[in-house]
Order: sequence, then structure tokens, then C-alpha cells
Amino acid sequence: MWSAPLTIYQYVLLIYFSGLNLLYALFCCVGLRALVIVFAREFSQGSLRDLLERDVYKPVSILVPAFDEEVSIVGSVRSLLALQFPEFEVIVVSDGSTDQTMARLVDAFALAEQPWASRQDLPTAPVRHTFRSLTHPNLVVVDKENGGKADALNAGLNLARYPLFAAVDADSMLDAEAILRATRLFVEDETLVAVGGTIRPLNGAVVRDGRVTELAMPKRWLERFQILEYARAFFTGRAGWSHFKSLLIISGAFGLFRRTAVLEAGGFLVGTVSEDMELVVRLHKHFLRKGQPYNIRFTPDPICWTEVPTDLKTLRRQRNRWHRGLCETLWKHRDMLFNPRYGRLGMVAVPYFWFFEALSPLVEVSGYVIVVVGALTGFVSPRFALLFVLLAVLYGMLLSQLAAGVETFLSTRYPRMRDRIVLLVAAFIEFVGYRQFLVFERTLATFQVPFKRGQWGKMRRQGAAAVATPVDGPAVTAPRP
Amino acid sequence: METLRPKDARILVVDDERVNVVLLERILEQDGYTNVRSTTKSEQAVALYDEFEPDLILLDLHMPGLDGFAVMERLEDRIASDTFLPILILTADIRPEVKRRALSAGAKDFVTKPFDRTEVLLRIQNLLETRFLHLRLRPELASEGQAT
Amino acid sequence: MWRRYGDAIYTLVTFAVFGFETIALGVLSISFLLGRTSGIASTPVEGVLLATLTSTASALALLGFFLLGYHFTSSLRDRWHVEQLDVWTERWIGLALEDTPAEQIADSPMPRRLPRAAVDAVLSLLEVVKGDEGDRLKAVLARHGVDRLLLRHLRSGHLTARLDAIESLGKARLPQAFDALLSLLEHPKPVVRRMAVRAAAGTLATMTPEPGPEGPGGRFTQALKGASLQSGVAQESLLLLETRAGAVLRDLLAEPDLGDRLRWVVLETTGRLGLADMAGEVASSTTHPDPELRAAAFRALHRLGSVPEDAQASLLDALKDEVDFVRVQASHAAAFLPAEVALPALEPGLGDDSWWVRRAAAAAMARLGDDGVATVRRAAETHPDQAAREMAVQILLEAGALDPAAARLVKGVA
Repeated sequence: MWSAPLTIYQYVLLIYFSGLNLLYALFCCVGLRALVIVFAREFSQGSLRDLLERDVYKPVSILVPAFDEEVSIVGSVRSLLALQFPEFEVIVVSDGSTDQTMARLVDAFALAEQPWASRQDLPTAPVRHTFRSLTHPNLVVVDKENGGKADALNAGLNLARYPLFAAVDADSMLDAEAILRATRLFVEDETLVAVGGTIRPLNGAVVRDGRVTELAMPKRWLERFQILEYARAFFTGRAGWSHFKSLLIISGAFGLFRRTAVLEAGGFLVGTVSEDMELVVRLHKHFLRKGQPYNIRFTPDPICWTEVPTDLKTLRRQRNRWHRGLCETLWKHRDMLFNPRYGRLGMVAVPYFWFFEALSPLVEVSGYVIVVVGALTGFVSPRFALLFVLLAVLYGMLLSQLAAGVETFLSTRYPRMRDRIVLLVAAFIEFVGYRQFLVFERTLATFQVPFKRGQWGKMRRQGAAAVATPVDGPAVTAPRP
Repeated sequence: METLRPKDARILVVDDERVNVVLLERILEQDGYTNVRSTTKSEQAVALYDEFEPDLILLDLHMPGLDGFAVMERLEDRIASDTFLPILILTADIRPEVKRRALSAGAKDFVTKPFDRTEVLLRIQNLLETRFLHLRLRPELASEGQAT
Repeated sequence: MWRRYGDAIYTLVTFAVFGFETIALGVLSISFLLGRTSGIASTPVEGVLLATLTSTASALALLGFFLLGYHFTSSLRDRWHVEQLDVWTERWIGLALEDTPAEQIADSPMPRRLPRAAVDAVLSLLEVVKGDEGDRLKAVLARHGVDRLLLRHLRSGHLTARLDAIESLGKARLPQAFDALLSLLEHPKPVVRRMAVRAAAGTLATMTPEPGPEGPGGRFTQALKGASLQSGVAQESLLLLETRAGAVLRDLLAEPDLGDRLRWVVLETTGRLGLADMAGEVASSTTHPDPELRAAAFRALHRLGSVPEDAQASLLDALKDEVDFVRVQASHAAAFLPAEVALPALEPGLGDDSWWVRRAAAAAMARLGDDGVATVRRAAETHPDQAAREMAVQILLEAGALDPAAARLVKGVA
């Protein structure tokens, strides 16, 4: 009785599996090719040096939303203020912090309250006080009532006065050169509306004077797997999407936006878990509807270094949040699905994210279940089932190895041979355990979407050894077998 | 009284590009300056200053990590207000506001890259002559620090 | 940021592997479906599965060894390149400073064709030194045919080679490449145009000036006029002209059929470079029909710090312009009018609808000396519009003319 639906489902699974891997492989190849031809050839490091020393930048407002960050806030703001960027302002928005965040800021930066005459371009939760620093004229601090990260960002936007803004996390280590290079893209392309940079795990690296001077392999395998994930997601994933002008995700940790464009689109959406992805999708929609030429792209060159979770619990929460954010955003903009009005995005990118990102954990889990059940009940020959699973794993390792390979070609790469071998081994191990663990978590997340709307989750901070970065939003597209 | 030969002067070169450093060292060497130290790591600049006690610093503005402005800021605490320590800025940046900022941060002169060798040497000579004149007019400092 | 050797091979290998895997998977799927319709997993399917497994495993091994091998060789190569760069840099410095006679530079006679590191070293040095030393280095490039090689690449079809050549010529600033670079301003690809204009501008900066439309400056002006470039790129190239910028900007402004976009760029750049003697030419754009250009002209005047007498009337008009950003820029520029003219004209701006205009008006007034500050202070206390009062207070705070504690009292709201 079960045989017919099960058989059909097996076909479905197989087609899904093959199709997915085909697409994913194609996609990785396209991304790699884009990287090699477009980025490596056309972006030359040399010529930029000349121009970095001249007037070619646009001033930037750096928005820092903060909630109960008393431990790390002063250090983060200090390192942001120390950026060697010709013209920028830092706007810290304390989103109704209940701890000593504000007090520490007032002390450290000699903040003086000012009755602020501000624009109210976007509606936000009430602002209690606005401060300006007497020692750092380009630092503004806002104390407002709690409204969530998106709300805090909107409040910051209301105060921002420069044409570009970057929404950063207090923990990301921003390279001034990275910002400079990113703003150059806005200078070179007037239709550019948003730029996403590359995120790489900082864990294990040697940092001096706010710069990464040497890369070293971190000790824990968990961190090593994430190095691969990020390499794969950014250098093949996003490079590919950007090349086809269908980039849907810009990492919350390092994104540069044109202020007027974002205001036009309505600012950040309050109440969503991944407001950065939601914003990007909405920007696409807005300009496509308007019929105005625009560009949203990814650039591999500016690199933002960020601490990635070192323990399972934080990692789980992070991935759970990312997946929920992805599903929420896709659901909210479900009118884009297979909608030719949105061109390549509607017909290719959005469906891809629906079927091969959002729903894939479910399919994958059901695949495992079917194979196991089938093997046990003799519906499928155990040997066949085993071999099939083995194939899936090996194929996944192949994709993972691609990521390790991409890393080898970067100028800033893990220099030691030992590290290279470790990365290759990680590429193998990733697919037996780590991957499944994440798939399970993401499946759970898919079911939690209706219940856990817009929740940040708690973040455990340990000051200098900060445990995790609230990179809200799917910063990586996790791999598939 | 000691006759201080400008060619004995201690010169410190700070630039992140190795090419620039080597070039400047050779130019100075060829012109007779025997006491030249250099570094490509701007974070070592201050330590070198303490150790070497230069008469002149050739400083690049745009360096990763600590840039020229940051270095000048740190040196400001160490340079006594009545000392004339010339800092010559070498940079490709021609913007007027950068010049202004550098000069108000403590730089005494400004040379844009690409530079002309003769011009650079002339400026260095002028700055050192002023430095030694200043030292000669402050006998108490001269006897302490500058004797070879 | 990326190693450019071996990556093409790697990409091809990757493509080949995945292409093969795709076919294998396709075959597997088809045979599975066929097998299913005729019964439980049949042997041929298993055979295909095993074959796919083996091939995948071999692909893994292949790629793995390739990567390890690449890592090893690329590390060695990088190190060697750095060493060579140092060696050649020393040699070239010796030659440039005429320390070492050319014949004695290398132990063996100089190779006819210079290795990559040698060329890179020369180009790096040319970025730092000019004059006689620079000329000696440029002569080296000519003697070894590097310039001819680069020019050939400039005309070649291959994009990468062309871009590399443009970049190298931009560093070398060889006069003989100038016209070839200018001709690339009509290339269909934007990235080529972008890099070519930068290289051309850098080269022009070191060429001997020749007046008139036939001179290099004149040719550059004409090429720039006709080129389709983004404003930011055009602006960059003008900034790269260094001391020649003034002449080119003047020529451009004098052109009768100068496009609006380029005019905007010229106004911006004039302001940024602080070319005060061009205030008159800039002022003529203050009455341009396009509001963007009017605003740009006023912004330039503001940066230049002067408003010529014959532009005063248009400035006073602009303070009432219907477009808000024109009012903003005009307000900024008004700070350079005589106070008795400017203050009464700026006061209405405090009550303007636009936040930016209010701010600009208040800021400009505060810069007009004691009278100006007094006027702002008065506005902070007595202006009927609350928004105007708040803005006045804020400007006074920023100008350091008001104590933060007093600010609250003045504002009248707790």
C-alpha cells in the first residue's frame, strides 16, 4: 500500500538530489569563473593604490546598533573611530539597553547631550536622548527605547548625514581600506545601490593594531569547518549570483548602502529576524518595479573579519536564526516567486532559494529517513542504500574541496602547508557529522518559523574573547550533498 | 663648541613600501649621509625614535595600521615643545586639506611622490641646517644629545 | 588579492570534474528510474553507482593532490618573486642614481627581454621618483622594448593583457603611450575606458606642456569630452592630472558644447582642487537651467571660498530657488558674501521647509562673524518656528558658541 507513494517520493528525491547537485555544481563553477575572470583580472590591486591616496571616496556613516553590550561597546567604538578613513561618522544606537552600555559610552567618550534637530525620515520607537562626543566630533550616540535591531538602524539612518552608510556589528573588524575600496565602487558606478563584502573567520588569526597580520589555523574543528563554509559561500556562491545581477544576500556584518536608495525603499523592516536580507530583497523589488537601472553587487575584495562561534550551542542558535530569517524573508516576498516581472530574480534566484535553500533541509532529512527505513524494511537493498549515501557524501566532499581550493588561490591565505592539509581533511570530515548536524538544526528552524518571529536570541559575550557575532541574516549559503 | 656637520645627522625613514625605503636610503647614502635608519613597519617608528633619536624623520602618510598622522600624534608627546624636530612628509596625496592637516599635525615640510631627487635632498639639507642652527642656539641641549 | 597563475587550470579541471560528475549522476538517475520500473535495484544500476563512486573518489584525490602541489609551488614562487624584486630594485636604483654604470649592473649581460620582476621593479620605482632619475628608468624600459611590448598588448584582443598593459603604462607614464591610451577612451568595455583614462591622466601629468588644442592637454580635453564615463571616474582622472588640472579644467569650461555631466564634474573638481582663480568661470554656471549644475557651481564657490561680484545677484536669487538642494548650496556659498548683504538674505532660510536648507542657512550665518552669531542667537530665542529655533541652537552648539547646559534652557523644552 505504501509502495506507490514511496516509490514516487523516491523518484522525487532522486530528481531533487540530482537537480540540486547539478545546479549547485554549475553554480560553484560559474562563481569560480566569475571570480577568476571578472574579479581577479579586472580588479587590479596596483592601480587602486594610487587612487586610494586621492580624493576618491564618498563619506560614510557607520551605524552601530547595540543592545546590552556593556562589555565590548567601548572597545568596538574605539576601533571604529580609529579607522583611517578620510570622512566618516559613527552613530551608535543603544536600543533600550538595560545594562551599563550608555554609562560606559558617556564616560569613555565625554558625551554631551544635545537637543537634536533631526529629520524623521523613518518612524522609530521614541528616542530618549541624543549625545555628541566632545572628544570625537564624528561620534554620535543615540539612546532610544527598545524596538529591535531594524528599528535601531532606522533611528541611526534618521541621523545619518552622508550619502553612504554601513550597518556593522560591534564585533566585526573593519579594515579602513576595505571601506575605501567599497566606496570606490559607488564612485565608479552611479547606479550602485548596495555592496556586500566578503566575510572571513577571524578565529586563529594574528591581529595587530586592528589589522590581520597573519593567518593561522584555529584549533577547533568547528572553526575549521566554518572557514570552508564561508569560503564556499562567498567566493563561489555570492560571486556567482552577483555576476548574474541576482544577489539576494548582503551580509549584515559588512554591507555598504546608498542612503537615499534605502530611504526610498522604506528603511529596514522592523520585526524580522534578518533585516539585512529583507532589505536587499526589497531594494531589488523597489527598483525593478520602478523600472530604474540599479545594481546590487558583491565584491570579494574588501574583507571583513569576524569571530565565528566556537561552541555548538552558539553555532546552533546562529544557524537557526539565519534559517528562520531566510524563510521569513522568502515568505514575505513570496509574490516574487516565478514572477516574470522580477526578471532573473523572480524566475531563477528566488526559486533557487525557496527549493534549494529554504526547503532543502527538509528534503535532505526525509532523504536520510527514507534511505534508512527503506534499508531496514528491505524496500531498498541495504547495499544500494549504503552506496547511495556514500555517493552523496563523496559528492559533498567534492564541493567542500572546491572551497578549500578557492582559499588556496587567495593572496591572504593560510600560509603553512600543514594548514592546507588540515583544510583538505576538514573538507572530508565536514560531510560526516558537521553537515548533518546543521541540516538537523535548520530543519528544526523551518518548523519554528511561525513561532519565533523576529527573535534575536541571546548572545553570550565574553569581552575580548567574544563568543559570537550577531550576524543577523544568512551570511552563508550552507552546502549540499 | 662642536661643529655639527649636517651630514652626520641621524635620519629616520618610515614608509611601508620597501622600494621607497631602499631608494631613499641610497639617495641619502650617495649624498653623504652616513647615519640613516629605516623601517617599513610604522608601529616601530616610535620605538625607533626613542632608540635612535633622529635629527630628521622622513615619513609616509598612507600606511596600513598606524598611518603618518597617527605616528606624528604619538611622537608629539615625546618631542619637547622647544625642540625643532623636522618631519618631512612624502606622499602621493596632493589634496590641499591633507597638506594642511599634515603641517598642522607637526610636519615641517611636504614632498609629493613621485619626487625629484635634487629637490628632496635640498629640502632635507635645509631642514637639517635649521635643526642644527636651533641646536647651536640651545647649548645645553647640544652638549647633551648630539655629540658624536 | 588573487593568484593569477594556475587558477585558469584549476577552473578548467573543476569544470571537467563537475561536468563528468553531472553526466554520471544523469546516467545514474536514468538507469535508476528505468531499473525501478522493472523491479528492485537491479545490478546494472548498482554497477553505475559503483562506477560513479569510484570516479568521484578519484576526482577527490586528483583535486586534493593538485591543491597541495599548487600550494607548495606557489609558496616557492612567491618567495622567489619577492627575492627577485629586491635584487632588481637594487640594480635599478643603482642605475637611476648613476651609482653603477649600466654595463656593470648585472654579472652577466642584461637579458634582451626583461623578466617580470625586473619590469615590476622599474614600474614601482617610477611611481616614486621622477626627474632625471625617472627619465633614466624610462630609458631602460625603452631600451628593452618593454614600452613596445606594452603598446602591442594595448591593441591586442585579450582583455587581461590589455588591462595589465594599461595599468603598467599608467605607472610608467610613458609619453609615447599617451595617444594610444586616449584612443581607448572609445572602447566598448567600461572597465577599459576607466583604466585608460586614469593612465592617460597620470601620463599627461608628467608630459611637457604644449599649449593649444594640438598639444597633449588639448587632445586629452577633446577625448574626455567625447568619452562616455561615469562622473566619478572622470573626476578621478582630473584629480590625477595634478598640476595640469587647472589648464584642462579651464579648457573644458571654455568648450561651447560641454555636456552637462562633464560640466558637473568640472565644477566639482575645481572646487576640490581649490583653484581659486577659476571662481569667475565657475560663477557663470550659477545661472544654468539644470538645478544640479547650479548647485554644483555654488558648492564649488563655497569650496573656493569666494563669490565674484557679478555672481552675487544670482546667489541671492538662488536662495529662493524652487529646488531645495540649490538653496542649500547657495546658502553655504553665502558665507563668503559681505555680512550686511548675506545676513538678511539668509534669515528666511531658517524657516525653510527643508531640514537641510535650515541647517545650511544657520551654519552660514554663524560663519559671518560676530554679527552672524548674534543673529543666530537671536533666532534661537525668538524665531516663531520651533524647528528654526532648534536648528539655531544646534548650530551654535557645533560652533562652540553655546554651552550644552544652556542649550536646553534656550530651547525652552526640557
